[in-house]
Amino acid sequence: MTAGPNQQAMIREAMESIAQRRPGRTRLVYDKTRRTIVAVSAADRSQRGLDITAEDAEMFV
Amino acid sequence: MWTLAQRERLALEHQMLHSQGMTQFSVFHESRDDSYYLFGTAQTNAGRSYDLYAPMPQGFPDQRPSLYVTKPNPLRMADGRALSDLGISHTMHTLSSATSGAIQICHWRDAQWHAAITLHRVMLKALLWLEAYEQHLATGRSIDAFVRTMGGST
Repeated sequence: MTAGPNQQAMIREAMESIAQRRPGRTRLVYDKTRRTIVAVSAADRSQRGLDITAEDAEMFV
Repeated sequence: MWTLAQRERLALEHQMLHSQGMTQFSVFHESRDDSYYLFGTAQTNAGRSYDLYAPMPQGFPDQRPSLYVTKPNPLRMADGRALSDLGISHTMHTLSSATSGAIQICHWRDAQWHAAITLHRVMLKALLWLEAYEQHLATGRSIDAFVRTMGGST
């Protein structure tokens, strides 16, 4: 089973904001409420959760 | 046989997961064979769910725990093939699959692993891997291409 056209469109839409991020503009953070990774504006300090970037997490070292 | 220090560490890992808001993951003890494992269902931005399973090795925390995606199984690539067909894949950040076909996420290399790395950081990587996997499904690009994007954007 693979992702159907609708699923792919949904995934693509959900990922768009992450894919279009610019360096220094956004951060990946763990949203405790949604319990998933979200991209937020670097200026947005209202995020309450584990504020950690992929680099901070030593992602795939 | 687990030492008292290991048992205390595993209990602490469970508490830390929950205190960091990762209440979807828990460390469980299997009394039948006195084993420990982490299990939980992760949800991505797109709303899809994935079961994650990490049996704790006897050498934990000095030894790196393996981390598997047990559901969906098989996990498909964008072209419809099973991701497990690739086996160890640098571009997709996977290690040897389980005999069940469950994908093993490469979260840390053995040489880079050390006892100070906590399970909530492992699961954070798992969540990032799942987001990258869904980006792969949407675009057909390999996971390592998306990881570079994530790294360059933070």
